[in-house]
Amino acid sequence: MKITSAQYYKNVAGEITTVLCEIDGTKSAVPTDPDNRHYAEILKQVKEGTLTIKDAD
Amino acid sequence: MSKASELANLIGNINAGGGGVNRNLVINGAMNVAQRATSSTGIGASSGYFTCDRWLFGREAGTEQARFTMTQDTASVGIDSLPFQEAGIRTALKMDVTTAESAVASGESSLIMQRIEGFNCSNLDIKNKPITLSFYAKSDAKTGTMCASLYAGSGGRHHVKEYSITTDWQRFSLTFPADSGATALANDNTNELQVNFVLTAGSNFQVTADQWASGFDTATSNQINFADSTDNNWYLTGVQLEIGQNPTEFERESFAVTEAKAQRYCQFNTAEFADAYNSTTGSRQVVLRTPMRATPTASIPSGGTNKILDIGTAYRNLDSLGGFELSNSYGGTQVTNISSTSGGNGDGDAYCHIITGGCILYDAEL
Repeated sequence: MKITSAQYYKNVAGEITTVLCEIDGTKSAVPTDPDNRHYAEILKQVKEGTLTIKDAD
Repeated sequence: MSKASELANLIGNINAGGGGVNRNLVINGAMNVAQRATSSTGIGASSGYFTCDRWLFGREAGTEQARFTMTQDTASVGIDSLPFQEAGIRTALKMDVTTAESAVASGESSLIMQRIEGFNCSNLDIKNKPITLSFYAKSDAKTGTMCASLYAGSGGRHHVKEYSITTDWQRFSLTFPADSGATALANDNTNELQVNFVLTAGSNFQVTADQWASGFDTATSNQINFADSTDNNWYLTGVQLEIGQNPTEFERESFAVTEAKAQRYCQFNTAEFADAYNSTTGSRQVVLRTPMRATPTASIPSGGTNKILDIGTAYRNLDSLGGFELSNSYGGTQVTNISSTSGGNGDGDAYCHIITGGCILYDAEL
């Protein structure tokens, strides 16, 4: 799974609930839910040092 | 199978704790639901869900050269075919090799899988009860030994079995005995039981057949390299996994029932209205078609006709959006905020977006 352009995103309440990114070229919003397979993969790639997540704007 | 044999098998499975309606632990075993697409090319560049719902294509190393076109096939399951004659099945999953891989390295593997959620299989007493996998499969050219396996998530245990594929449809039945070394399957929303159909498997994934053991292994050394020629096409349908030692007739269910089951893991929402939140964000309360397994990933399928209409301005493609996000899910609803990188013509600070002819994909697959 190729994940690029990852950035945290704040919801309207100012809480970080999502990682915005591209997954295999598709723009995606991944919830910070450990049961979500994409978020699990993001955490794995961050741990392996192959992906960094930019801070929210 | 005669009706007497079918009845005997069913009674045997009921005595083992299975049988009856909803006995098939696999969703979309007849391959008749394909929400994402009916055909997808270039499969093998990454793992993922592409055509028939719930069926995952996986690759293990990332260096695999084989590429496939994955199709919800109808041509192979005509009214004279075995799947139709025996079970009324009219669709199959087809893997067409489009780029051959002459040699499979030790860490490489390509396979088709279904991951079964614990809530749907934790009734299986895997330590004490057998389980039977049955399916229809055939090839167009390549024949020989192929492997199917189970992987139990809790405990990390596998069991590999072989079957011999030919150019004719066959119904295969593989019975997996109870696993005395197993850990009970968890009653939760995680991947607790996985069915694997191997296309290629390097030596790292090859083990002895017909025994439960630790680790994620999927094949034996007899597994053929199904991707060694672009002449090769593999077909699969009528997949059934049931508690008990006996295969029973494929349990046919209505399209609507299968689709609803699949939508726990994948669903599209289309043509909705997003209320204005501020100058660049529309907030949309989505009522999911069914509650999903986990908070889903939202994405915009590429190549579609997704557009937004900014009130007072022109259409813009959704692909150009700066981002959208999900907030809390309350038992079947989801708030999706759709944002744009550029402001509109403004109506105060308010700004509306209407999605027309487009869709957002919600994915909570395992």
